[in-house]
Amino acid sequence: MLDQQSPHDITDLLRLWSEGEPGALDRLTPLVFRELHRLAVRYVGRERVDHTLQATGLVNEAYIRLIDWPNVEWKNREHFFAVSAQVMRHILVDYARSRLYSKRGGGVRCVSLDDAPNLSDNNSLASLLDVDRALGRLAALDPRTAQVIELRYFGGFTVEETARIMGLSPITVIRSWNFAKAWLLRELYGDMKS
Amino acid sequence: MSAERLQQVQALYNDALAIEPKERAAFLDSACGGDSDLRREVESLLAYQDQAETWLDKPAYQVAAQSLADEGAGVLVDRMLGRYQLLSLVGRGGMGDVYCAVDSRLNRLVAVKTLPSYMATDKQHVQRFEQEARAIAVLNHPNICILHDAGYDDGLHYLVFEYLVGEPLSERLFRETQSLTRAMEYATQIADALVYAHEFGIIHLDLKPSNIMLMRSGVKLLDFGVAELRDPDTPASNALLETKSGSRRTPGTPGYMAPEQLEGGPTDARTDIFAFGAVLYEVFTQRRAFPHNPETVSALRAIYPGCISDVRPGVPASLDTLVARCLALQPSDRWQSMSEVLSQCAEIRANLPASGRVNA
Repeated sequence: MLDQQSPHDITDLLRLWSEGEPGALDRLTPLVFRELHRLAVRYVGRERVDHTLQATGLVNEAYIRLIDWPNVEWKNREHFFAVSAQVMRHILVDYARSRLYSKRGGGVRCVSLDDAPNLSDNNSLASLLDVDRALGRLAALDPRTAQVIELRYFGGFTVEETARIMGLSPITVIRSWNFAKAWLLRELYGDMKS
Repeated sequence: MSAERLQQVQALYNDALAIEPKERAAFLDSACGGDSDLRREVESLLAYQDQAETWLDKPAYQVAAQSLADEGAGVLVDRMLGRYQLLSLVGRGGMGDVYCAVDSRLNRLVAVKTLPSYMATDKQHVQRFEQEARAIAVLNHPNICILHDAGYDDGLHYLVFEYLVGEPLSERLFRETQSLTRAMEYATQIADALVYAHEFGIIHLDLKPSNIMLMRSGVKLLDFGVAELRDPDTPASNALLETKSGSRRTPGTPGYMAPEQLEGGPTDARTDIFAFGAVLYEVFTQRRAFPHNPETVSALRAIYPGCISDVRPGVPASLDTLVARCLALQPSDRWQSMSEVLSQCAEIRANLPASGRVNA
């Protein structure tokens, strides 16, 4: 039972999930949403002024809360961060899907890609789904670059954190990230010249 | 595209990025040789390179959190939730929206509060939610906003309260000073409601001026026990939110939360007594006892307030004593029950000068 949810359980849930126990995700979801909701509460309360300042701090705060660090062996930390990013990806994609296709929304709401290329502020849930799908295609060709995106975009990790998790140099991560962004944008919006 | 091809494209892309834009064409000419497909690939990617700051730099969890924040902002107007038709959005809070609605069966106005959809939705959880809501629905007191119903529909938990027309204490305090008589009247009614609820073993855990509605008929406490309902899976004594230290925290409001609630320790009636003290301080002084939303006990300690009489000379000394003992950091140093607090309130009230307007 989850009545007495301790951080230790969350660590266990992440482990279970990475070992292929599908039920673990269902139990992790409300925990992640609790953190997301904390963030949402701050958005409601403070409007949109200081988001960027808070961004990295908050997600780290969330991971720190979610994972019982003393009980995770050092050599496994990287693995757990990687698993956390995967879990976040699943949960966020499920959330986006449920919001976009919920019956309350008045049936299927599709954001056409033709409407999309306002690159600076298209943060919609639809693009989140698009990234997820494109990432699936990229992973088949270049798993490393795909993981960079997973950690940066879905996991919310910084370049330095991503580098540490993947055992790469930050400069390699930056190069991968730059390429991955261009590749994703082109996948999503098509060839700009055509 | 093959994996090898993608590696090739990526290498060229990075190399091209490293040189001046005006030299890239020449670089690609030589690097791609006659492979025009390769060149086109790299160029089409470079075309997106200028979009340095794209929405991709904003992590997905922020998108989801923003969506959660926007979610429900009036979108439910005109819809049915259970047997309730939602008419208009009357309030938005971090912990859910409040709608004015019509109970289609009883044909009366009600207030429907939706709870955030992050709450788990499995059958067991919903059952427990309703079970706890039923416990709160038992409360029937003139100074407590009545919970009529609770339900789960279309992915949303909701609570149905009696519909109140009044002014939140927070706004009243912002507008005007309260006479001693008036302030003690509020205090007594709030205390009375808390005594009553505590007898049922229900603690408020989020008592604050914005949760206290002033009606013509008197005070009404809103959201009784709702702090616990937000997560019925965890018992109130150690509900919610793991903090860095691995403890838990019931979601109250910083500035009114007692130290044990801030620290995620066990909460009980004395936790409400602390919040009551903070509210009382504010009612008399129009200043928050703990401004700046202290989120830690050390922050709380650092801004520990003085006496009400420091701010408002002329209040009875017994009021200072009452509030100081409510606001003791250690639960064991506080009044031990709300009924003690109530009798103190009644005594102070009885001994007020007849005019009640001393030094308003």
